[in-house]
Amino acid sequence: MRTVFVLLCVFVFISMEATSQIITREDSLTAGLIAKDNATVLSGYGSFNYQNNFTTEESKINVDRVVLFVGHKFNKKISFFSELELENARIANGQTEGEFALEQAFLKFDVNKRSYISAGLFIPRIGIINENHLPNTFNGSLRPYVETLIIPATWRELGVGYYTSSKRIPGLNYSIAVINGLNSSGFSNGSGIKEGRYEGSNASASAVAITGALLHYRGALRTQISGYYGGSAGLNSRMADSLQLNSGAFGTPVGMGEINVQYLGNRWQFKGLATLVALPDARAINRAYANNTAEQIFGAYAEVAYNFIKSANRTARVFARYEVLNMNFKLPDNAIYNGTIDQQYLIAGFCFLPISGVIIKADYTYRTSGDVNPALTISPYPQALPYFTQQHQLNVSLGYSF
Amino acid sequence: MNSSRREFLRKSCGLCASLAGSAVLLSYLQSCAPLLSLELEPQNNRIQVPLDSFKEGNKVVLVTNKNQEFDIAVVQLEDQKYKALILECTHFSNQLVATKTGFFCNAHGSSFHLDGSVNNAPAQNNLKEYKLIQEENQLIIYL
Repeated sequence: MRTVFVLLCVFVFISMEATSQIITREDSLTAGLIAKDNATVLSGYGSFNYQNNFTTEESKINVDRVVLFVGHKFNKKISFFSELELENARIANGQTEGEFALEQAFLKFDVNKRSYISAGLFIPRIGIINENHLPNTFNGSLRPYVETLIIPATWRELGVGYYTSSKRIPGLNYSIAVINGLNSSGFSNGSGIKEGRYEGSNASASAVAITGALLHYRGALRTQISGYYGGSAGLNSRMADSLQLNSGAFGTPVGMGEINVQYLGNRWQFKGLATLVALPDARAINRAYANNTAEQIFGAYAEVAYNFIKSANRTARVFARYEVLNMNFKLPDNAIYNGTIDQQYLIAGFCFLPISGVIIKADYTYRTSGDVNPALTISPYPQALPYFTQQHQLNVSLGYSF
Repeated sequence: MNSSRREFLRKSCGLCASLAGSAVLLSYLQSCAPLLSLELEPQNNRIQVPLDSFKEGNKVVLVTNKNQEFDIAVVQLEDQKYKALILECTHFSNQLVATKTGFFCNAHGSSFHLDGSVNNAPAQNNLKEYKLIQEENQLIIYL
């Protein structure tokens, strides 16, 4: 009994110590960080998802992600931000489904009240979801497919970025960043440039990329245009020559352009985005790695939503989104057309936020695509599972951020 | 005859579209005029903002100085009352971007109405504000 009491006292003491050092966002970021030059912040977000594909008769339930945010403010000018993400709940016994990764880890140096420099592993300003990926900020259980498959959100790389806003033109922001390039050996036919990201893990610094964005707010309208241009060879000249790839900082280039418009009114909301990825050396990439890379990839979506409940804390809305993406938009002569990645989606559903930090979503997805190209099928039916060009899916999810 | 009528309709529609486009562009450019920004140092933990600053249709006046970590937006509301809002996002403490129609955070997309209330998540709390009192032709912000 005495031992239990002593242990209890130790626990209470440790807890008090802990709370005096680590404070939650509610205590610190919204209040204390102004006054305190030295504070640590703990926060996070996550989502849980149920999917039922009526066509393939498959259903699953999953912890999509749980992300722990840790930030620290050293003084009024310098802060540290990090997001540590666990996807699919666990990584164990050599299974490859889960992922435990740093989503962000960077130092932020405030130049003045309008400008700052980010250095480290950060998310460049490309697309909507990349920067604004908290589950309570987008409609639909799953992130838009265009911003998953073409703009591979959350796309983070190592580098330095400068962010500022115009004093002369209210609402105008611009940013420029230098980050490491991509790895073209990772490009794949089904996921474009996504698997070519280094995400801060032993990235080749031989390939470099420059990205920039212009962002303007006017009333409820938010307009953004962004671009990316960088190398993807990431090899020394000898190795690149042996693969007949162009080496150098911008060798074997990848370019991306993107424009998006959002209207976020009290009742009506609209989002539209279009993006084009260009890989002019796709032919050389295919010759080197045989990964059936396209020369151009295109995607766009438009979404309309209506808030039928909008109070100080509670929001309920219905939405519909149409997405079109073609990952074979333009092929080099040594690539093979794959109809399954020429897709269209119609997603409709509702979102309910009982408080602004928690969201419940339910939506229905109708997906159409081209058919399987027999030239890409190694083991045809009945060895391979049948492919359905039209699919119907129900998604229900729960998300939070605090 | 049909050709000239078609030409007339084409030109009329073109003119209307140009006028509508010009009106939208003009309104857009007007909104691009800079916000009035005043560099005012606090004295005895108070900042005095001249009421004249709100002449000529100014609804938002930015107050900045080297000591304040975040700018202050003094907003004239529809009922002729004023608020002194701290331009710190209540989500992750980023400096907000001020416009004539609201406040925006680039970090995670939160936005706030001119009265400081949350317009869009992830921010959950309204903007904090300083006490503000109107005295004759001055607005006094109490830090």
